[in-house]
Amino acid sequence: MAKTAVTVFRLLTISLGAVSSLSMYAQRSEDNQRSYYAAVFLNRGHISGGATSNIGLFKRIPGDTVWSNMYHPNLFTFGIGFWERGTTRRYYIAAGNGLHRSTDGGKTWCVLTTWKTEEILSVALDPVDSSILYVATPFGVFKSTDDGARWERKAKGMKKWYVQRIIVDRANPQTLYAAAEDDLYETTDGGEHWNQLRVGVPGILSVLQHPQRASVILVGTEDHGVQVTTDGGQTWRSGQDLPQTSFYALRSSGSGETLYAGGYQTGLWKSEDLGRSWSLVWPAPGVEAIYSIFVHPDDPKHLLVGTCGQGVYESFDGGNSWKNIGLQGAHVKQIELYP
Amino acid sequence: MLTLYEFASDPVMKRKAQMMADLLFADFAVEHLKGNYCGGHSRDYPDDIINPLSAPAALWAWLYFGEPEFELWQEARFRPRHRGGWETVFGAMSSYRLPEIIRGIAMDRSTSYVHTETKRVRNIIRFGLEKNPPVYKYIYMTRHYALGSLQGGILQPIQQHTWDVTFASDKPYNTIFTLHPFYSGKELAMFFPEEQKFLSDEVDRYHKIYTNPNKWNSSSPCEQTFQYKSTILVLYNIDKGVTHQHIDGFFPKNLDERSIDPSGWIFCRKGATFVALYALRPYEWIDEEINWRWRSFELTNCIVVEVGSSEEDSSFDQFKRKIVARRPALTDGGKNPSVEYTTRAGDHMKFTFNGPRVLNGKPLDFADYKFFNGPFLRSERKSGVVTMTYQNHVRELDFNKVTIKEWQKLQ
Repeated sequence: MAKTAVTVFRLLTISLGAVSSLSMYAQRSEDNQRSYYAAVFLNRGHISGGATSNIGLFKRIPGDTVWSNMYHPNLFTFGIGFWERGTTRRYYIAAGNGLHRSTDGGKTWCVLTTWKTEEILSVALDPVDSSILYVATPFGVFKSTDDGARWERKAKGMKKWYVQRIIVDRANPQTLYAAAEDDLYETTDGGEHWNQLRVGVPGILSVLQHPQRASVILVGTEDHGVQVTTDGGQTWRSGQDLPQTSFYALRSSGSGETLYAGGYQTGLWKSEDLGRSWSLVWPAPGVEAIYSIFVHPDDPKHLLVGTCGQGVYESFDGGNSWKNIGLQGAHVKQIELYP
Repeated sequence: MLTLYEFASDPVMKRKAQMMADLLFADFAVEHLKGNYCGGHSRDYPDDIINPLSAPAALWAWLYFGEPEFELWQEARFRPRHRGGWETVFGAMSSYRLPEIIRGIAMDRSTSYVHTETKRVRNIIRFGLEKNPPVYKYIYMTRHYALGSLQGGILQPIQQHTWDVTFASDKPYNTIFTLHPFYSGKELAMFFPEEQKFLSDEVDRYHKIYTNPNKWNSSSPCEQTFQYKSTILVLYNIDKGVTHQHIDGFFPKNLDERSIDPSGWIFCRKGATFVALYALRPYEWIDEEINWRWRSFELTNCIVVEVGSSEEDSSFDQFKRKIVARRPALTDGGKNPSVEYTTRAGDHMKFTFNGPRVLNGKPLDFADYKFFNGPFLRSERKSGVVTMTYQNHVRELDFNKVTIKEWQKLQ
């Protein structure tokens, strides 16, 4: 009964058109109207104040060969978000100097956060209520209920505040997961209280909730590979065969049939049994680290991988062959497909 | 800050900018000697650390204090290795004027003094159980030299200079110091929100020196200091596997004298300044272009340094005679080595790594450290009030009320 209710709610959120994830785009077919968006930064550019072309939000129309710089927030760019309903579209950039928003397709931007809410490492958007935003920062989770006009720190129950990533359960927007320095935290009341999910290892870098089975959650860790729960965090097991190192990127195909993981000198791995066992898809020779993974919602064999310093790689055959498609030298923290 | 002062239309903001500029210059002035920014500080670059007159700070000193002589500064800077300094254009163009009292503080070295400070640190972002403790600065300033150090804590992970003796000299390379050339991705990840596994490489990419074993700047958790006036004890306690596995020391070749006494003391003289350095464990010398590199591969070691001058010790021979019979004692003590030493002035110092600093039987309590404490500059922590004193002139900055008061004390 509960599962049926969740499914109905999920379908409802899709029909409302409130989207914050690519899985929603499985409903769409007008690929020619969509572009790849990449959150990118080049450390060297920030520090020296010199080369700045590889910082910010980059856009690339599918089939095109050029990434164009859409916005330069002037500091590290860690993540992106997107919200759409009807003709309203909002783009968000999580950056070192705050959360940036554009409501005019990227022509103009404003910083929503203040001095007290900096180093935005990740942004999560309520799929239903456009005024509710969450950001992950080194100083905890902050929430806005008025589309960024005011922010409130939400750290009750958290023992450590360094939060690398935050995601919202699209089927139940009051439930969020925060990948923190010491553990994975869950809230079921929109951030008012956080509960430790006791992964068993510290340093949670990334988190993924299965798109169809909400109780399946994967976390990438600093030194212990990928940890997996299939019962909503009550029990955890280590992903078999994966190297015990840092995993920064987790991604699911739209159906959830295939899960992908990548990290520090790991290559790209995949699992087809909900994260229990893993196989190496691509050793990624010469790639220092995989920062982001993208699976095309309409074609699960179409993959993009964002790297640390070696730009973006693309595969059309499920990872058998790869081609570098630009942004060389950049750290590509997130890749999405948006209108 | 000068730009803010120049262009702020709000009079309160303009006043605050003026007060902050006063504070920053006063902070510099008490650690200034003949154009040199002395003692432990950050951020700084290796070439400027070994040649303080080439640092941008020297140009600020020239512009606001009138030292060093411009020709000296120019000579120092136009050596092959030099950096920036363009920032002082903002000062030259600004209508901000340095209060005369700060210039007096910077220039008057007629009386030796001890000045201490509590410095804020950048907070640990990750991998810290608590926020970084403050850094406690100590400097002993004389007419001929300054000996200064950071008593624990980290000001800055990449470009810190922890301690030195700086000579008042018209020649470059007027300093002696030691350091542990440390680097660690984990340390960097405390300060930068990126992944520790390749942060060292990332930082090294734009600060080419960061992972270099021969670098002259470093903040190391394996190095701790205890200073009292003209004496400093520097303890090194390096774990196996930590990068790097040695300690370095900088001794300029343009010293007037450098000799190694059979007792083990290394004696140096530059002009009227005398330096004695004793290492409790073995070391070697490496001959480099402009300096001798003192290097020890002992993971546990201690450096004892006493500094004197013709004014304090009458002659270099006299200084040596006072020092040569003294023997610091090092106790390994398992994980935390300990050292004891009695200075030539008769003060007994005992110092344990990660443990207490004890002077003449009394443990030092950093809780007693003020924000600023010395004859020229005083401020209680979190008081918001800074008082400058020079001769009978007093200038008080009250950041709570945003007021500046000046008055003269009755003689």
